[in-house]
Amino acid sequence: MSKLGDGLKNLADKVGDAIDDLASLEVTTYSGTFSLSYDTLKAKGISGFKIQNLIENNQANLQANLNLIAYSRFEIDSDASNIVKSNLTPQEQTLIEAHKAMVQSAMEARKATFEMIQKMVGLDL
Amino acid sequence: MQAVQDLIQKLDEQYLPPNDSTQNQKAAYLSDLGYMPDIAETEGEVFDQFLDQAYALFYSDLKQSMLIDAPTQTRLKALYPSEYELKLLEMCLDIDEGIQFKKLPAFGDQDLKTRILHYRLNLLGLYSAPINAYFSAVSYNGLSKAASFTGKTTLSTANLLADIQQFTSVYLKNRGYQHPVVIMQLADEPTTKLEDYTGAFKRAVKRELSGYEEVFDELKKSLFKRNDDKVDVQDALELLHSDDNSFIIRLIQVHQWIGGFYHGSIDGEVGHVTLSSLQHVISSYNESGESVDEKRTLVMLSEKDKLLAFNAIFFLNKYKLEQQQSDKTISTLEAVNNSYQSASPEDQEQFETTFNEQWTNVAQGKPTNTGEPKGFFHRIFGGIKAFFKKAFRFARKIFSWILKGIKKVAGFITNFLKKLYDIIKEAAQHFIEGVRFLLGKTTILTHENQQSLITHFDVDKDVLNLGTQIDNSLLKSHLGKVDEKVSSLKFSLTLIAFLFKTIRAILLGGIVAWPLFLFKLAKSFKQVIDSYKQIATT
Repeated sequence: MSKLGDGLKNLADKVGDAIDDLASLEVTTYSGTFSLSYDTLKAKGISGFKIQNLIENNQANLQANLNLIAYSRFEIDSDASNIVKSNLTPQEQTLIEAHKAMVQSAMEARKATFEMIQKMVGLDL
Repeated sequence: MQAVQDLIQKLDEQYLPPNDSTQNQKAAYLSDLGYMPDIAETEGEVFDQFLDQAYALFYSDLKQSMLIDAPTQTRLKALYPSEYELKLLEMCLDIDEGIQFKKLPAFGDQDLKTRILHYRLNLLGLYSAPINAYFSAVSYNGLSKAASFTGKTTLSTANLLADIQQFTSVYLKNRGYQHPVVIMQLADEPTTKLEDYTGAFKRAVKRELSGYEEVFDELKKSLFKRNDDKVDVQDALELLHSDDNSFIIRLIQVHQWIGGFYHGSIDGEVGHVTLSSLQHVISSYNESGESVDEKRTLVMLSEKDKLLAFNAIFFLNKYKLEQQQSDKTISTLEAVNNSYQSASPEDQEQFETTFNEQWTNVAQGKPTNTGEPKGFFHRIFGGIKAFFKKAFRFARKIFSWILKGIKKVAGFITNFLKKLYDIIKEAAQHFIEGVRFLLGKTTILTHENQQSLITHFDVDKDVLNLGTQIDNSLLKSHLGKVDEKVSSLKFSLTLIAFLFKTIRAILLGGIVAWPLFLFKLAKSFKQVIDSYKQIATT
C-alpha cells in the first residue's frame, strides 16, 4: 500500500484507540523550576515539543524539579478524585486557577472526542 | 504511527501555504476597501508596517460598525484559525453571500459600511470616487442608479449587491429583458475573425425572449428592421449609448470574473480582454457539450464602425438559472472525483502530475499560464458558492480539461484550483490539528517575561499543565489561547468524523491517491461548514 494508504490506516487505528480511552479523564498540574529555551521551542515549532518526554525523561529528578500542584481524575461512572498540594504559594494558587480552567477545557475536548466517535457511529461505520 | 505522521507532514509541506503567503492577499483586500495606501514598490518591514496599520484601522472600524456579530466572529476563529483576519476582510468584500445592511450610511459617514457600499457600486461602474471617501451625493447617486436597475428601494438594492447573482436576476426581471442585445464598439481591429451578422442571431435572440414577445416585436421595428443580412446601424449606435448597454457589459464582465474567464479591468469598455473572454466562455460551453454557436451569440454588425452585437439575454438567462440552483460545491467536487475514479491508470497518473504542477503555482501565488492577456484586475474572485454554481455546468469536463491542459479554459481551471485550494488549505489545517490531537501532539505554550505555562492535550493522558512563576496576566492570556484551541479542535474532530467514512472507503477501494484524498477532504470540510452554518442559523 502507498504511504498515503498506510497513513490513513494508521489514523483509523488511532481513532480506535481513542474509543478505548473515553472511560476516564485526567488533568495534572505541575509547577517547577524547569528551564525551557523559548527560542528553541519557537524554532522547532510547538508540535516538535513533547511535554510527556520532559516528564518521562526526568523521572529521577521529578520530585526535585517538578512539584505536583493538583491532580483530578473523573471516571465514566461519575466517581471523581482530586489531589491538591497543601500550603500553596500565591503563584501556585494561580496554577490552581489554571488547573480548574483546564479541567473544563479537558471536558470540552473529551466531549468533542466523544461527539467525533458518535458521528462516526452515526455514519454507520 | 510513523505512516500517519508522514501523511500529515506531506500534507503540511506540499499542500499548505507558506506562513507569509496571506500577506499580499490581505494587502489586496485592504486596498479594495481603501485602507491600504498605494505602496507598490514597498516591501519587507515597511510593507508589514503599512499592512499592520491598515488592518488595525479596518478592525477598529469593523468593531464600531458591528457588521459582523460576536458569535460569527467566534465561529470564524474556530473554523479558520490561521486566516481569521483574511476571512473578516473577505466577508466585507463578498458579493456572493455578502453582509446585509440594516440601514444605509448617513451623509458624511466615512465608516466601513460606506466603504463596502462604495466597493460594491464601484465594481458595477456606478461609483468612481475613492472608496474611503465620505458617503456623499456621489455615493447616493450611484446607489439610486443601481436602484433604478433593480426597481427596488436603495436599501434593498445595497443588500442585493451583496449577492451579485440575485442582483442579476432582479435586474433581468426589471430591465434586462428590455435590452436583450448589447452593442459593443471596439477601439481597435479585432485580433480574431468574428462571425458576420445573419438572421441566425436574430432568431436566437427571439428564442431567449420567450414570454417577452413584445420586446422582440419592437426590435423587429428598429435594430432588426432590415433583411436577414443587415441591421440598422443608426439604431445600433443609439443602443450603444444607452445606460443599460454599458451596464450589461459591466455586469457580464463581473460574471466572467466570477467564473474565471475574465482577467482584465472591470470597466464596461470593450477591449480585446472582454472580447476574448466572451469567446472563451462560448468555447467552454461548447467544450462542455452545450452547443453555443458564435453566429447566435457574438457577431460583427459593421466592420467599418467596428460594431458588434452580443446576445446578452442568452447569458443573462443562464445566470438566472445558475442563481436558482442550490450550492453546487459538493456536487462539482463529486463529479471531478467520479471522473478521476473511472479514468484509466495512465490518465490518473497524468492528471496527478498536471494537478500537482498547477497546485504548486496556485499555492505559491504564482501567475499560472492562462494564455490570457493581462489587464488591471488581477485579483481572483473570492466567493466559493457563486463560482461553483457556474463551475457545475462544466463539472464533468474539469478532469479532462486539467488532464489535457486545455488553454482556452486555463483561466477557469486556475480559478477552480484556487477555490479548491482555499477550501483544502483550511481543511488540511483542521485535519492536521485533529490528527495531532489523536496522536497526543497538541501543546499550547505561553511565555512572557521568564514566565511559562504549557498545556498538553492528549487522548490518553487528557491534560497536563506545567507552569513556572506565572501571574494572573499570563494565566489570562494562556486561557484565551486554550479556549481558541479547544473551539478549533471541536471543528477538527468533526471534520475527521466526516472524513472517516471516506477514509475507510478509500482503503477498501484500492485507489489511494492524493488528488482523490484532497477532493474528499474538501468535500468533508464543506459538509462540516454547512452543518455548522445550519447550527448557527437554527
